[in-house]
Amino acid sequence: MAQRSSRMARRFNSRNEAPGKDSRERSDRWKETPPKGFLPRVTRRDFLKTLPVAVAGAAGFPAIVKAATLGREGAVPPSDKIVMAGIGFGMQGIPNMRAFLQKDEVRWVAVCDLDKEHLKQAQGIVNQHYGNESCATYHDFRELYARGDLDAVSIAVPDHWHAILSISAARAGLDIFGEKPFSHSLAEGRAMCDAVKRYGRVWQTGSWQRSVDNFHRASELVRNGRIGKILRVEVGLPAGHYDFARTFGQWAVGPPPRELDYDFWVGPAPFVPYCKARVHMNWRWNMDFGGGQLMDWIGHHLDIAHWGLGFDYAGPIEVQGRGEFPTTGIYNSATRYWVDAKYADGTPFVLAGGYDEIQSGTKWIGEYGWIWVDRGGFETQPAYLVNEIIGPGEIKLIKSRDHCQNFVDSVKNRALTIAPAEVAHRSASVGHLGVIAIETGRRIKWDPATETISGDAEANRLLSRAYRGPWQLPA
Amino acid sequence: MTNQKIQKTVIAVLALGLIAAGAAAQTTDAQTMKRTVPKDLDGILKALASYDGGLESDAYWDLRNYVLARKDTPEARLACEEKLVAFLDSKATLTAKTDVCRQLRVIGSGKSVPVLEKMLLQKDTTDIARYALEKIPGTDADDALIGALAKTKGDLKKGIITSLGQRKARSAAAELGKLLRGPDPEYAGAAAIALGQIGGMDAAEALGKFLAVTSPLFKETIARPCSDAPRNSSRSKTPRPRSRSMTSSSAKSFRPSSARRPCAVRSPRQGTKPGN
Repeated sequence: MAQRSSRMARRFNSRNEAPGKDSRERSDRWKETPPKGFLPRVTRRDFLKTLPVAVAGAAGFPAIVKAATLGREGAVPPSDKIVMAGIGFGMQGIPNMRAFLQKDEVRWVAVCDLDKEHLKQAQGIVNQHYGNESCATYHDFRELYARGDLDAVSIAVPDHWHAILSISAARAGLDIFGEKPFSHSLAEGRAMCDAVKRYGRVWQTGSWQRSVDNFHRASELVRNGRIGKILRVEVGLPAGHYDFARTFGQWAVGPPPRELDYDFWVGPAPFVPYCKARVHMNWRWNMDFGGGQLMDWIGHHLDIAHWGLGFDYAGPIEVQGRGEFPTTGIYNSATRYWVDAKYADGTPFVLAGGYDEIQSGTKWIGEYGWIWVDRGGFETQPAYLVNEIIGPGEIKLIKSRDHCQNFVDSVKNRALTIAPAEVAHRSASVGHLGVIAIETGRRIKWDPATETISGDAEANRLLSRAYRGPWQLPA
Repeated sequence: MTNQKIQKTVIAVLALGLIAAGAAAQTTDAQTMKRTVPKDLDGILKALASYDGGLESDAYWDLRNYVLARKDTPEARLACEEKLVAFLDSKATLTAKTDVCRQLRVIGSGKSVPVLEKMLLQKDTTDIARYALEKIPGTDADDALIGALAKTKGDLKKGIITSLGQRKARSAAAELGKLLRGPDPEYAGAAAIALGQIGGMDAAEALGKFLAVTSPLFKETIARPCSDAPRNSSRSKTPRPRSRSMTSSSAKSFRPSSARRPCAVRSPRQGTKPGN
């Protein structure tokens, strides 16, 4: 921040320097001996001699500056573009970046990853898109943030890095598109929200379901009381461990590959020896780096449930749960789980993965019927509700048809996104509390206002994890 | 064999093949919760001692289930803790000790502190020691961390400073204040953040005094913890404001780009959906 301020100050001063005595003295000196790197002084007569050539040149190349550069023909001039970079290209980073590359308002200038192969791939995509070789690469996010010319960053890294990267980005004055789950612990989530607010940053969570029509419509119907008072909410999430990277079975412990800086990758988490199945994409199944299916999906279907109920800034007051875990292997997140949560108004929530009775997606059950929504699915009881129109005097939820565009617009307008930090934190909190309830085997009493667990010192120990040195959450 | 029989046989073989493939793909999931909680902790720890972090993790799971089954009974919990602490003094692998520290994070008490205190001073074990120690209640753990400050340097020392901040260890304020004013900017920066987390008027005063005399480059590092300190307190139960606006304190820190003239707003269009 300080570096950028001084850079901007220098730029401003150089543009607005008044032609005072000092500058006159300098120009007088230049008459005698031009300083190195400057053209010799040109007299009026010399200039007039060259004029016909200059005029002919201008006439011969009238379109040397593209209209797009000047912001004409609907194009965004370079000076108005949002300068972006991305961190993490092992999974969601690539599709996120591709979506942003389609935006005329965005100029993607750099990529950062701890795996050289991922870095090369991401750089290739950017260079191919722009038809040049200008995309810069970074190994260390701190060097990326120190560039000083970035407006925003897209972060798609393992969960255990979310807090450090995003708080550092906020400190560096960057707006953030961050993947879900929002945080790796409740304490980190709070620190992230505080940093986003403190540094005045725009945050968009990758909870893209909010930008899809059926989720929006379903939530709006619930919010407008079409099924009356909500009696129960069911959130169905996936179960098991999915082999995203096709590395199941590659459990042998050994030295990490040369292209991956494994020690940096482990970062603030407890160090565990490298094996191929532990890293890229399948890190999600290990609680040191991810949060299993429960945390992977909490930022989607539970987030939608909150949206429909107007619970964006609320949280449960009681949570209990049970889970089933592998009995061997390197993954230690629950493979099947059931979490009950109760909110202050008495609304009971069920989050479950691997139970047939809980349908995948979000289902609100009310006094007069139910509404269910999932990816590609939207059903109601009574059935006519599907076609209900929200009238002029009713509650209209924020509308977005394109999650990345919503972020871009918010960056330009300094407005809240459709999935801002505090909202994402409240959604993720339910998952974190579920994990704690499963781990302790007890009913957790949660105060959403103070964000503390009451009367359970042991559960409170699980609100955060100690970082491996030298990592520390920035203030 | 008639055509019908051949067809049936082919279908049966294909079905069996599919079932086998499905079972292979779900290897991890199929093994859930089939094992019973073992009764002998010594046996578990003996098996765990050589664990390398790979697939052969039965002992890890046995330990986890054993501790979880006993953590709510004070006597059984204490008995567990004693054996786990003794294990940390053994020649077990680092991965095995890490797994034991994961359990002590939940059930550890003052009885775990002496051995963890020794581990704090070793490069290989300092992080896992803090993983447990940071969560152990009581002043013994604070004292162990404060005592280790003077005996460590580099990443070890920075980690310990971080843990003191996380613990909101009021008794560490004086030592952290010294580091704040010390010659090493790494320690000073870490100490500033830790003091901000510890909070209270002593920490605020130490930070405020230093803020006034420190170099301009370092002011930014100090300023934020300095403003955090007065409102942070280990006993703080103040409800957090439910901020619906991100802009309440933000105008001053907008990027210059945000002050440029607005871009042409394009009509919304369906974008690429980021996968999960």
